Amino acid sequence: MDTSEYMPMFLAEAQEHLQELNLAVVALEDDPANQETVDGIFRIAHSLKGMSATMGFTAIAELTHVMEDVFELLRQRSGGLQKEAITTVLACLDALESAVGSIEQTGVEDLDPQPLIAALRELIRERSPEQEIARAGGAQIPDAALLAAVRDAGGRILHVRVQLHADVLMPAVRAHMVFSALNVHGETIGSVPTPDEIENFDGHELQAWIVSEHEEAELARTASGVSDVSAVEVRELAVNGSESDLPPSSSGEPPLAGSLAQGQAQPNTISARELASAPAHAGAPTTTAGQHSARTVRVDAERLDTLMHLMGELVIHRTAVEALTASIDSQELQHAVQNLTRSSQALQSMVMQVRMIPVDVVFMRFPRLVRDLSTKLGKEIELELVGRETELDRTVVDSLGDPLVHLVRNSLDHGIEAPDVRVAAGKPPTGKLTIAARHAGGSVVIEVRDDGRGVDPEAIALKALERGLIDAEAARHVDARAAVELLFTPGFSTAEVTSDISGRGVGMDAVRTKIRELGGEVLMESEQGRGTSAQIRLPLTLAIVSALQVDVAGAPFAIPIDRVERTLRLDEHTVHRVAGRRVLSLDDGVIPLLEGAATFGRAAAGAHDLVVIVRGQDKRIGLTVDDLVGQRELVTRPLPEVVSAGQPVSGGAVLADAQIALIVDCDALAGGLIARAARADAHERREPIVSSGR
Amino acid sequence: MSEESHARQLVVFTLGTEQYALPIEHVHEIIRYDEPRSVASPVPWVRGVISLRGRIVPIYDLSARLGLQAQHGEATKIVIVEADSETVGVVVDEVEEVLTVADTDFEDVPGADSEMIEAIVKLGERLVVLLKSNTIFAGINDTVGQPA
Repeated sequence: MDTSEYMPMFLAEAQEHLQELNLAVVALEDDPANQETVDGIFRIAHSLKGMSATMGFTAIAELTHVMEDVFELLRQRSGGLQKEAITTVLACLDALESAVGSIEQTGVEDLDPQPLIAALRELIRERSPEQEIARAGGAQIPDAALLAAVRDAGGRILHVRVQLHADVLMPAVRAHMVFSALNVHGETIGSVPTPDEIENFDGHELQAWIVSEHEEAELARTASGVSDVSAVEVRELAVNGSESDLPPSSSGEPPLAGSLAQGQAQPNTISARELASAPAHAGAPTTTAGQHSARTVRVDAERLDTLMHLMGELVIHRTAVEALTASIDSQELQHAVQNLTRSSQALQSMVMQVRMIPVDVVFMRFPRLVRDLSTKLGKEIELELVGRETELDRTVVDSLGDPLVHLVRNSLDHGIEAPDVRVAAGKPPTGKLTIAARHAGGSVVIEVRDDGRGVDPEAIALKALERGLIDAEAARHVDARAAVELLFTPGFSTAEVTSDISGRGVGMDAVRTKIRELGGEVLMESEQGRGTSAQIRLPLTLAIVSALQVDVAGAPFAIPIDRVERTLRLDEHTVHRVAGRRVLSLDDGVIPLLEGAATFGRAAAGAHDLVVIVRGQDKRIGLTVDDLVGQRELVTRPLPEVVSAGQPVSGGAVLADAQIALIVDCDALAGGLIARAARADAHERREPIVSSGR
Repeated sequence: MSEESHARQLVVFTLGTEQYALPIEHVHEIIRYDEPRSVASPVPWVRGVISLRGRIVPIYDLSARLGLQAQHGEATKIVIVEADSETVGVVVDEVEEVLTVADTDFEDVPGADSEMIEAIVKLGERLVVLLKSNTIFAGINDTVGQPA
């Protein structure tokens, strides 16, 4: 069948499954005895196998099939996985991930499963010769389809199990003799070991599936006649062969194989939803994850965006209707408009909720990442994930991954020390890394905290000096705060040699740029010897922002309401000049005062006698405006870069009267100030922000 | 390079005293000119932004881009162009017509600014300059550069 239409779904599901697998395997390492985790792994591997087989990706299917076998065996016994087994399985996951990646890019799976399969088989071989026998014949074990076909044709299948003496000298020869003898009773449709493997057979249990009309006892007699046979068991396979009658490798097959086979036979009847949900139903929903996926619907992200977009238009139209009807004196109309408003707000909040997904989607990758990196770096690290269920807008979550990975890598690479160093410093040998998410008002705060060595101002100053970011004089005055700020300077990377861990040619400035694009901010605090904490603060949703609409030189601007501390009249406060810049003296401090018109590159007009105190990155700023229009729910739209370049604006919004308000980027306001102060003396290139000083 | 069949449809408009055109497949719509919401862009030919059914679209002054003297007036329009998945509006003095031009009527423009001009169409006495909709606007973001 033509599977291309299912490709996006396959890719999304496969990536999700792989991520879950990663998580589960790492969890298994911590708690090898956890049967539920093993079951989970088995189930996911099984789904993945079914999906990839349906899509015609045979290498992935083959590899996952063997992985499934390994976990099937684990499921049957207790004891858990050895460290090297975990490593092998993780290597398989990496290979699968890159195969899925190459499918996404080129449509072809780039995977050679054989070395990994060999490694996997090696794992089992070491552990249980008995189960090895059972598994080795996998290819020759009659599958459900064959069994069914034989039965449909009126055939009767006998399952023969033969035990050889424990001290048998030539098991291969005995196996051959047993099979030859059994052949007189009918056609052998499957055997363990397979005919090809008999030569190297050195186990003690043989199995054969034979289509025969002869009595069970006759077969048993025949088999017992061979030397070294200690026991024989012959049973007829039940018509609806119960699971225990079937060989292990096919025991998990029926539900999924059934539904997928159906899909192949009738390409028109299988819907995308069925394809998507089949794997979810395949495994018994014993874990919460299983239940969860069964109750949810997979929706194309683009449709969600469209929904959001339409919702935005509705909000705009609603606001326009509200404005138009406000002056009409009709109780009924007012009432109707109120109802409209109420419904549309409810709809709006529901749409927002639909877009919210738990931050765990991003967090999921970290147990694996931390495990790999700490092993590589020879560090002992305990990872704690807090607030995994914290929900965030999908677009935010999507973009959060890279910055977070960067922060985590930084912590592992530069923050947390090697065990001996830690002990010498009087700390426990195991470092602690916490990734925590929590809601804070209209924002979500994600913190990456370690108890490592912290930022060393002197070392940072030296690096910055080497890289020409600051001069010798400034280097002498770098304190902890300034050092942290230097980390964010473009061109600063603390990694001496670009390691494959944190030095990927991007630094903290890339993290900050990314987060700011999302309308958020990054703060970092560090205490030398005690640890570092990086906080990412993001708006819960990017799409609709509650903002204070102001008028600056005849044009509308919007300041996100959560950044507005308060507003005041300029003439009621004292304005000073400090080093040529205006500052506003308030009861609780002195803050820089920016002139609105100049800040946004407009010709001054209007009174400019109102001030909005905004909370910037880590400082407050006063911004003069001409008028305060009011609080508005604004649907944010990205601005073309050519329009916003060099201005402290982060987006635009269409107002009820079809005017466009530019959304003020409060961090850029504050940031520009810092940048300007830092370079006050130098003849630098054009400032990103039009000078506001006089 | 087939000889007949291949004709192209062009949206022809005037800028100052000259006639220019864009391929019709890149012209999304033509709207009445309203003063765009001005922005302080470092790019001189950016006139501002307008809202087009909820979307924010940048408006470019094509005359300024080409170094011409604009004659905006009553007939001034904004041509909404979709090029390279970007939607932009360009201000033109007047939209003339949609011309169907045979391939053979296109002439190369040796020496001209190939970044902006794709070809010249010669129809009797008329000269219509066919602009490159992709490069004339699409690359604009690159010319802004990253703010320091």
